[in-house]
Amino acid sequence: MPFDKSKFIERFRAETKEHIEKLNLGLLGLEKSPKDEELLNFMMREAHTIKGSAIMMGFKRIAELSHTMESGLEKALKGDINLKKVHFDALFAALDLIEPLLDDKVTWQAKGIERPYVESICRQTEDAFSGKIDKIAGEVSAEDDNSLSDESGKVASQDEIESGLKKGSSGDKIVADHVVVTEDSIRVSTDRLDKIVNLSGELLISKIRLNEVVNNIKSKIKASGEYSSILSQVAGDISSVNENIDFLTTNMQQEVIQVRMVPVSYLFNTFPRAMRDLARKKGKDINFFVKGEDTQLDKVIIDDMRDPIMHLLRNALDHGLEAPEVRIKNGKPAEGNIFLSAYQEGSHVAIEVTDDGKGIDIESIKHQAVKKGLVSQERIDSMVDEQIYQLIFIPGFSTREDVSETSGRGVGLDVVRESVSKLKGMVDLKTKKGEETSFILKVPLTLAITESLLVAAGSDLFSMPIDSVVETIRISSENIKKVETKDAITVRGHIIPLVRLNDIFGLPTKGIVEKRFLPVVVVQSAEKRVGILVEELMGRQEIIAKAIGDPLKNIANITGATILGSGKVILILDIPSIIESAEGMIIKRSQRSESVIKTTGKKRKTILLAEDVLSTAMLQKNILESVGYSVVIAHDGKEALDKASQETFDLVITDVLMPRMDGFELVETLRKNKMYKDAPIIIVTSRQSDQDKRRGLEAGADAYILKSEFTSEGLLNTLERLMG
Amino acid sequence: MVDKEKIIIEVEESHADRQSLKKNTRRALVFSLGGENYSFDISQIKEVVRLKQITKVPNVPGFIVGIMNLRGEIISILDIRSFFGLNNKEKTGDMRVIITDVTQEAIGIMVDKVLGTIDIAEDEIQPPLATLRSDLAGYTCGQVEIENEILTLLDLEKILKTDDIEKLRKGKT
Repeated sequence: MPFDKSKFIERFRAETKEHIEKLNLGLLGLEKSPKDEELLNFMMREAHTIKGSAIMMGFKRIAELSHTMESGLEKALKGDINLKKVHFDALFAALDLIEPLLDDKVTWQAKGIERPYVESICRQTEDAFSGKIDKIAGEVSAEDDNSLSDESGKVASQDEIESGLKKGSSGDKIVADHVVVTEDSIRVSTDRLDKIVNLSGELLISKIRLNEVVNNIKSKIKASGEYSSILSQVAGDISSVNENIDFLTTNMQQEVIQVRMVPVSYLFNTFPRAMRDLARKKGKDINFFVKGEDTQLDKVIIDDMRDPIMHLLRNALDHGLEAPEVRIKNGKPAEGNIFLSAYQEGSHVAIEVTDDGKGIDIESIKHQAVKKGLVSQERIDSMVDEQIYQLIFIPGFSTREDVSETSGRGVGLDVVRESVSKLKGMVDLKTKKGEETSFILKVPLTLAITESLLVAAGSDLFSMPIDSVVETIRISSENIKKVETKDAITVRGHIIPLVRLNDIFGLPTKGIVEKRFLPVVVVQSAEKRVGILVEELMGRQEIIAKAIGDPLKNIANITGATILGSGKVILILDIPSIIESAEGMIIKRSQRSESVIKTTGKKRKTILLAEDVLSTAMLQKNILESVGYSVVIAHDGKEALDKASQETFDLVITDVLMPRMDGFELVETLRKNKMYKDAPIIIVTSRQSDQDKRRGLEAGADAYILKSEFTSEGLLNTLERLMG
Repeated sequence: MVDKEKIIIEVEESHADRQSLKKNTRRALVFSLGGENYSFDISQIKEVVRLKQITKVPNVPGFIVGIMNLRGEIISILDIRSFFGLNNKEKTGDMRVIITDVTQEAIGIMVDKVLGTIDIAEDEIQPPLATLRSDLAGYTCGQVEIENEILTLLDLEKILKTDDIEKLRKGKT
């Protein structure tokens, strides 16, 4: 029955790849327990499924290969033969040939997998199972084509294939059962998902409009003064429908984002086979353990994690694990262990590659880093272990020549870190000399939603991914120092370059009054830190990052854009490239830092002031700033909480009566936060009853001051005393 | 945000309508830019939308107006006036963005006013006149005389592949 195959070919390819993966895992399992009947049955079904659909789709060679695999496995199941190395090698060789054959003819011809070669592999498999050969000659790969292709071998005859097809009816049932147990799912392209994410975002924006309309109607009814029960009722109805839509759109967006999540097993399942082959090639015996395959992660991220993980696994095998003799000498079992595990940690997923090999010697890292001129000796002496471990990820740390000695790690760790940081992730290293080494890759759960800090400069808004933000501080202009003609500031004793966002983008400066205190966002990428001076901090927000359409894909210092709830489009800053262009003087500066530190004064204390009456707030701010404090105003308790989480203040001053959250509640909530557990908090209010005072101190305030006393010596003394 | 204005070109015309076109006819969208009339082949256009809130992009050449939200996608908006040596620019309520369907991703082209569509017989199309301004000649695929006026048919593909735009695509300078 003729039918249009082209529609099904893509699906056939994808499905066959899945079956290949299952067969790979199955073969690895069989190597450990060759007589596992259930597994043998399962694998026969898998091979049979490939055969059946390959015949339907006209992929004859795949059909031949899977047929020989199936008959071989059948022999093993019947007990005619005991599976040995030769059988596994033959099966793996046959299986490995199926995937390239899924490509089009031109591709596999280019790879040299012509018909005679496929036939020779089929025959080799048959020979292995009929006992004609007991060893597979050399590493079987497409490159060995020449030696094999001359032999003309027996092909699985058309009859046999046909009979395989006829058996199809009973086979189908098995296949159908199988589908049910695996997963009830469909394939959707990520493009399509992105469209749905986009549309649900648009829905949310329209919804915000609807809110405005509803409020407008309500206020108009109120303003008209006429009491109309019908109108009010209609407004009430609209309002309740609106709330419902509110709930639904929020849920829907979350669900849509969930759709992108897949278990990491999707990727992890491909490693056992690769590790087996690699270990054989290197002559090492290993146990490879995989844990946490159920951990969910954004499909886009998983795809990009393949190379970094494979690199670390290869490193662990190559350089991490000692040779068997050495292991035995050191009292370890000859077989090395490599663990690959995944687990969720808050909004991130950690993927760990651990080996129980020789570990990395911190002294040799130090030695190497100084020798290469990456850091100065003084600098390295002041570094903590974590910082030193980070050095091995710097490009140029290890080169091919010193792979074996030095750190014992190959080249390419800088590449690992680079690819992970492209995914807004980071790499950590934990190691114990002589015992073990763990590389920990941390990536966000999803790229769809990014927590970000919004900043303003030159009347535009920009978004910075929060994971590159270290802290936000306020500086006064006299804190800015010149280092080699460039601006720099001192943050916690370290000199970092300072760049102005307005300069980077050539934005006009809103220069009405030179502000006393300038907000600076300290950002970090790799081990480099830079301060970015902005005009205003606008708070944190979750955003959906999007790529900018052609031709603006690759513009400097921008990674993409996002659409705010209001429908406004804002740009997302490319922090690594901003740091890259701001630095170039970082390493040079490390020698000079000593002298510069001495010239900079001590850090100004920052105060968070929660006060809803603006005039009072401004007055208090002026008083405090006149004696040298840096003050940030919040207009109610909620805003104060937000600001307190973005920035660590040295002291908090709060009013009592404020909208949304009052001062008592603010104090109580802050005390629960470990950053503010011991920070001085002062309540400043006009409520002078003893009961209020008691309530304030019970909430956790350190002092209770009346507004009338605010300017007095007493207040400033209290501040001095509390801040030490 | 779905544009409330009825989209001017009905790309999804009825099948019958399409068949009624003479075989050797092409349909063009006519618009005005800097006081002159031009046209694009309709097969190179996805839709026309109102000029909405534009976000400026720093450090890009002057012909980039900025970026815009088109149903959740962020698209670049170009002002191609400077390519033709035009410069008189005035913002009016008639301004529209023509969304292209040439390169893989949609690009917006800002125009002063969209005038409508017109069917042009292939055999009426003349090669660009020698008198045509040289800066325009490189972007033209022909011209046609309509009621004693010359209408230039622009080639969007050529416009979107000029060196300046290609340079921008490579980016990171």
